[in-house]
Amino acid sequence: MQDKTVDIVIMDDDADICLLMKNVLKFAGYTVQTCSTPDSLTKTVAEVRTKLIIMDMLLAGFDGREICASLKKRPITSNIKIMMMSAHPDGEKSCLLAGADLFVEKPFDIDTLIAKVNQILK
Amino acid sequence: MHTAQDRFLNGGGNMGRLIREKNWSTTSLGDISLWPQSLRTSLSIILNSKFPMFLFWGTQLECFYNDAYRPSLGNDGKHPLILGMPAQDAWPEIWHIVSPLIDQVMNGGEATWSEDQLIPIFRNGKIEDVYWTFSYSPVYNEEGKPGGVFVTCTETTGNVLNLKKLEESDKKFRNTVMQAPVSIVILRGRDFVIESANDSYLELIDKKEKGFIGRKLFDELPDAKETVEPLLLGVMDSGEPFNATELKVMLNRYGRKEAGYFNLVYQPLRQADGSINGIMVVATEVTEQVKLKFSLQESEKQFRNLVMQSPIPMTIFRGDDHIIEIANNVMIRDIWRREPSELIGRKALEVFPELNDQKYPELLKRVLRTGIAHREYESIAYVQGDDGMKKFYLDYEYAPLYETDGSISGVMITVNDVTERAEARGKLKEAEERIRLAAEASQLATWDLDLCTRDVIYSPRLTEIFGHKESAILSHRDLRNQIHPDDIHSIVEKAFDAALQNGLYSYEARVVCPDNTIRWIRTQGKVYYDDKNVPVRLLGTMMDITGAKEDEEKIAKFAAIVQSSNDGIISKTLEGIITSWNDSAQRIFGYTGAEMTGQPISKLIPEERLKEEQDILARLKKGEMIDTFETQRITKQKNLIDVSLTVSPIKNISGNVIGASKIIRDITNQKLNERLIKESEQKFRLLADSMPQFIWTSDVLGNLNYFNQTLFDYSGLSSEQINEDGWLQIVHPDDREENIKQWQYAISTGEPFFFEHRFQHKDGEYRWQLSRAVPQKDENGKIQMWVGTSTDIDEIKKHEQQKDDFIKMASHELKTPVTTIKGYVQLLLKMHGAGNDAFLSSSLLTIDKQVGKLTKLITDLLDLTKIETGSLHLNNERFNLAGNVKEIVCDLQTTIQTHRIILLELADGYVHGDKDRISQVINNLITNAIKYSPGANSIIVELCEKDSNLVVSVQDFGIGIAQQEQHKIFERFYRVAGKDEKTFPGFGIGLFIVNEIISKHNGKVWVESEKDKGSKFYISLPRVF
Repeated sequence: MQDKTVDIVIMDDDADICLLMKNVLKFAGYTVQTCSTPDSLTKTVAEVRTKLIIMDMLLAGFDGREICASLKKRPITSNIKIMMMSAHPDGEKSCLLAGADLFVEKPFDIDTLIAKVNQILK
Repeated sequence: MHTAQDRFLNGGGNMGRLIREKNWSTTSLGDISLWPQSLRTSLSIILNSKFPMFLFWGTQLECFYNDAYRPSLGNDGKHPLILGMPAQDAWPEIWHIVSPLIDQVMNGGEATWSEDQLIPIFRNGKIEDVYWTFSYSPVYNEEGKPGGVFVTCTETTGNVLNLKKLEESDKKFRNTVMQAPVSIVILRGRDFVIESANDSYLELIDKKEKGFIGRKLFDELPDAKETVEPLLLGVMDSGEPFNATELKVMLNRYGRKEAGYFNLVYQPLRQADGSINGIMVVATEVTEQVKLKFSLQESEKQFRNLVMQSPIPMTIFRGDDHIIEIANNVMIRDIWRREPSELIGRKALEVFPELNDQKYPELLKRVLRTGIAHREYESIAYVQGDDGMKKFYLDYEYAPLYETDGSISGVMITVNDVTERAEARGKLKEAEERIRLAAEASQLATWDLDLCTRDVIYSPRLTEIFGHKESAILSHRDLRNQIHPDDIHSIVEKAFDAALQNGLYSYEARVVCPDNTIRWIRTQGKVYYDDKNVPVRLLGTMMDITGAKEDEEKIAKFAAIVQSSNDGIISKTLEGIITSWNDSAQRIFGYTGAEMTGQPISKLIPEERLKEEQDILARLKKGEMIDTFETQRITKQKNLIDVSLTVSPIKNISGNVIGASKIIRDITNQKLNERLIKESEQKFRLLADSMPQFIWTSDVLGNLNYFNQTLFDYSGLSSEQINEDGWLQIVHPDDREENIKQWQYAISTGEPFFFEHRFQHKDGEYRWQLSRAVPQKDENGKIQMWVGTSTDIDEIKKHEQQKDDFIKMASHELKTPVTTIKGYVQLLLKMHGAGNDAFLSSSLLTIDKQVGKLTKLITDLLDLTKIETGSLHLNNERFNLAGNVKEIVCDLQTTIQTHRIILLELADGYVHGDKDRISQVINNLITNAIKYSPGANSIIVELCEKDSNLVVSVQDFGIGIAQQEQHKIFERFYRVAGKDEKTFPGFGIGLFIVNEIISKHNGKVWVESEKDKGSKFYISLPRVF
């Protein structure tokens, strides 16, 4: 069961973005695990105890907002904070409506990203 | 413990104890053991005495006193403080009094004596007036010199005050007596020596106090001796007081002899042994009252004479029983018609029992009760005389009679017999009534105007004619005010002026009644002159001629209507002979009235329709009205014209049909138009039905009443189905609610309808339609109907969706690689930027900067695409613009080092819009300002309120924009060139986007700029509350 703990789980179908964020957040002092599909995310949150999920709004074949909403509905995961990202500037409103705690527009300044993560995990 | 030294204090009471207990070592006397024998002895005497005593001793004159003296010091005063205190300290308030006395004694002088001396001292918490009787005497010491002052004293305050009170009360009494309004004199002895007399008495007898008091009364008043002396002596002898009322005394007053009347009391004055040695005379002068009484008696006598000799019947009834006290002859002879012996001294209502059935007893009672005189005119009274019952018309008055004390004791009755006059007038009234009735029967009003006073008298009918109640009271002015404004000057005043000239008054004019109805009146009158030939009265009649006038008007109006009618109006006999022919008939047929009058109507009828006329005539004879029908007639020029005819029978008073009137309307043009309209409508329908769009119309209330065939073909529904179940059935259920809302809004406001919705095709599929409808208005701008179209935009909608999808995809695909690059560059800068490798850090900074520009370009390009495809959507909300501007400026300032952004005015206010987009605009303007002012170092941002807008301005001091270029800068891809036509980096779409976004917010963008001086960009947005 959840015997492992990480601070942040990142899901993005772009491997480079995943890696970039992992590096940035590790640099900022957090433990990070990444995944690239909703299935692997579901698996990860079942196995690993985490405080924050960062995910893209539009993944190949999936809508991040639906995943966000279902995570927020399930009792086990409802307490996990969710930060959503998107290159689409009009995405913020719909993400927050879906239950996301924060929204970051791509491309982002890493200082902004770190500050927001710090704030949410404080 | 008592010591041998203070044994002299034994039995010294409280004061002895206090002396013993006091610490004397601090005083000039020193400890008690050191006191000289003389002091001890003196104190022993003082302390043991029950008489109040005081001692001043030694050089400082220290104070001692005994228990008996103690009360004189009162409470809250000097006791026990002054024991052993130097005299000057103990008695500061009286030191100026006692010091000389003490000095006198201490210097070997004699003892002093003062009686009832006022010495105010401090006691009982205040300075009190205290009276003393006291003596100061020396006490010699061992050396034989005065060692102290011995004071024996009694407080006499109580006595003194009592005495004072007594004096005052005596004074008061004397004052009272002396100033009393009654005259008082006190006589002593049988000689009646005047002991005292008050001012009133002295005034009464015209004497001065000096030379009167102490003298014998009758020496001074010899005239009174004869009457008064026996009386005084009587009182002296008998001891009984004597009272006299209204005693007449001849007095020498104001220098002459005069009778005075007095109420007198002679009161014996007794000595302690009971013997009488004097008399107090109290005299109240009643001369005035007595004189008044005499004059009253006199006037009553005169009054009775007046009653008796009056030519008018008069009587007086006394008391509640109405006793006939007096009645004059006229009354007795003419009214009562009885013997005086039957009347005088008798109760009136017993003598005239018939009065009990009349109103008079009640009125008499009321006058007695209220004192208000009662007067009545031509009152009918029945009086039983010796010659039988007689009816009188009386003017009479009941006047109350007052006694001297103000009570009412009777009624004086004055009567005037006006029977003859009243009866004569009654007859006159009857005659008047007969005249009035006659006038009323003829509906004629009569009036009488006094030309001097303008008073007008009129019969009740006149008020009716003027629309008032019969009882209304109208002045001449009221009547004049009711004349119709158009008639007052031109008719009535003219007629009036004429009447004054020639004596006859006559006019017809309109009157405006209070209910605003108009009546016609005919007035006729005659002027009457006085003996100097001055007109004094105008008498006349007035008649309501409204009915006649209306008839007249009706006929005139009717003739005018007939003549001016656009329709031809003809009358004819039952034989078909034309009897009248109006102008329009001439216009229609070309014949004049003269040509046609007397001619047969058949002249106008085409041959094939002659039977029509026979039918008409036959039906008319039966009295039937012929409904309007359309037919054809022939003109003078032999043209066949379309006409519509209405024929009605003309009846005489007995109801017999004697002819017909015919209204003829030329409908040739109408017919032609009808045909044209029919054709045009057919054309329109054909056109509408063949159009690919749906065409529909609605009435002014929004009820759809026409659809072209295309709609039926598309929906597969019939016209009946749409009519029955409504057109809304073809609209997609999700769109219906908004559809109804928008349509109702358009109908209620008259604004064009504009809506996108889906219509169901007959195969079940829904397709997007753009429906538009505009109101059709008449020349007055009033909406007559709505015409709408619905165009299939399903394909366009699909393309739009594709564009939206493309933009989303492009955003994602373009921004993702940029995100990665930017992220890594920034991470690398964080990890290695501060290291020693200058090349590495500067390269990383350059990449970061360029990636930033690339990001901006991508964002702008995407916005441009959105604008062009119409998919720039706004997430509108109400927000505080000032807060927004402040935030943007703060954020920007953190990243900009080259310029200082100065925030000047910041008006508070809200706008309704997309906060992110507005931020983007302001951001854009500020970054532009920085970009185009490389040589300057400040940007000024302001937010002001102007009219009902909020205006943000961004001012730079850079390259500026030439006048001729200013209108181009909001165009797409336009860029301002700097010196040497060097352009600045960017696509030139920033201001285009700014303009588009602000336009979408119903705002405005503009610029004020001067080449090489700088620019000021403005955006204005509607303020919301």
